[in-house]
Amino acid sequence: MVTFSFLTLAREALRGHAGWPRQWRRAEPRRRYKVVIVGGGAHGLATAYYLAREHGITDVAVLEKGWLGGGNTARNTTIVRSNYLNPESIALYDHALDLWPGLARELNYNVMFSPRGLLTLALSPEDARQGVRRIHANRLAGVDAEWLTAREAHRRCPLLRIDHPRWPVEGAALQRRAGVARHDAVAWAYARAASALGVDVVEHCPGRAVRTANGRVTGVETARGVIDADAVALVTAGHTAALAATAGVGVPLEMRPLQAFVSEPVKPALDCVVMAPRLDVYVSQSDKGELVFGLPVDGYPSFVPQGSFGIIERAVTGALALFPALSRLRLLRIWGGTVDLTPDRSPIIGATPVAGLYLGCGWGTGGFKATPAAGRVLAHALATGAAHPLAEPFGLERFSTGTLIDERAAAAVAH
Amino acid sequence: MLYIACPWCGPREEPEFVCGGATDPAERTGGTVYGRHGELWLHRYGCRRWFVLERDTARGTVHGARAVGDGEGGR
Repeated sequence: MVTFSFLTLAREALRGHAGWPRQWRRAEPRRRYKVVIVGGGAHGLATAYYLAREHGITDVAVLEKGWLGGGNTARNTTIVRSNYLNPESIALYDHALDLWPGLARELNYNVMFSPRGLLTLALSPEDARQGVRRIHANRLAGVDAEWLTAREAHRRCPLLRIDHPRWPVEGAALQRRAGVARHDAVAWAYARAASALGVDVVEHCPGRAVRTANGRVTGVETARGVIDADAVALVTAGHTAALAATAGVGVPLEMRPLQAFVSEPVKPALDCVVMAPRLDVYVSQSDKGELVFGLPVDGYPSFVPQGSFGIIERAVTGALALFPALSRLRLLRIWGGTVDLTPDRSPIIGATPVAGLYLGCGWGTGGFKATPAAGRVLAHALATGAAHPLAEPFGLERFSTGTLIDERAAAAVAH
Repeated sequence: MLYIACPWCGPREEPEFVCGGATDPAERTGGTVYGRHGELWLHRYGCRRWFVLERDTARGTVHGARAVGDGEGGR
């Protein structure tokens, strides 16, 4: 890996950028590793990086069925925030938010993290009551959260219409440290850093089944042969349930399509993220100038990353009620993915009843923001065999014990 | 746009309906089935009856609707 620096950039600029090596080694999978991570999205790659960086474990392979980060990592709406309701969730997502600002420097890669602030709008008196409750919950947990009046929200975000007759802005919660980051860059950054530390990043290698013997994991069966391992982590979002089932582990993941869309690029008009849970839409503007619209999940279970147009229409209606200035924008691109929802809308992190088999899944519509924390805590579990304190409440066993972390209503966007 | 044949009203457009989730309680612990499974649907803006729809979650195809059977779809 050649470090990105002013000197190397200048040198390469003079050579027509002909000297840059591949960002990560195109590794051929070996027959055995200490740890195999199935799933080469941002979470899987981050896990591999922290295993190598923080625990010195480099005999690791990340297996990605397609192209790196081509699943939900490539498809999300890039929001980073930590304004959840339950203290366990706040702690986990806020740990990620603490890691985001230093990530580009640590990984020597521009992940374009922009803490531009998040406004969550209250569009009814009940929204305002819930919103005030949430900001107090955040502040009690030591996380930044402020309540703005409609006027203050408009001052912060002049594009916002606060006097819509049906959905007037009653107030807004502001998290200043929240923002956006470049999703692809995060995957590439972790892949490059992990690969440089010795991790094998293997693309086009679908995992087919987990191999076990005597209640312990022995490896993974892939499309390119069997790979033996002491520990296996399944970080495969929607495919986790099927893979875990091959080891006899049941994972309660409901699959739903999730769509998003962007407008044509325009000059900077919106310099913060705006969420309107009541209208089932949230909006931000990418550095490319496109307005990025986020939606709730579609209404029925599916592995097909395609949703219904009704959700798009509702989102556009809501977005235009909030931002009438956008009415003449053209939509450039609509896409979908599939998200894995848990019964309590909180992730599943850590060990399973099968020794050596770990899960990092169930992040639903909100995994991107947690990427650095998700990787760190799962790496901790893989390296030490014990749950990281931040991940402990999110174990698979909570669905038997009943200690759910209910974020269905609390996660600020319809999950 | 899904076109769903309500057993009483015939084929209607998707926005008239609401999905009530998979009928198989095993999906609540083992996850969504990859392939054909049964789902409870409500014809919310039509006859307002519940019925079972067989859908393929891997292909996105619809395979027929029928009345809810005895003991089926309990919550």
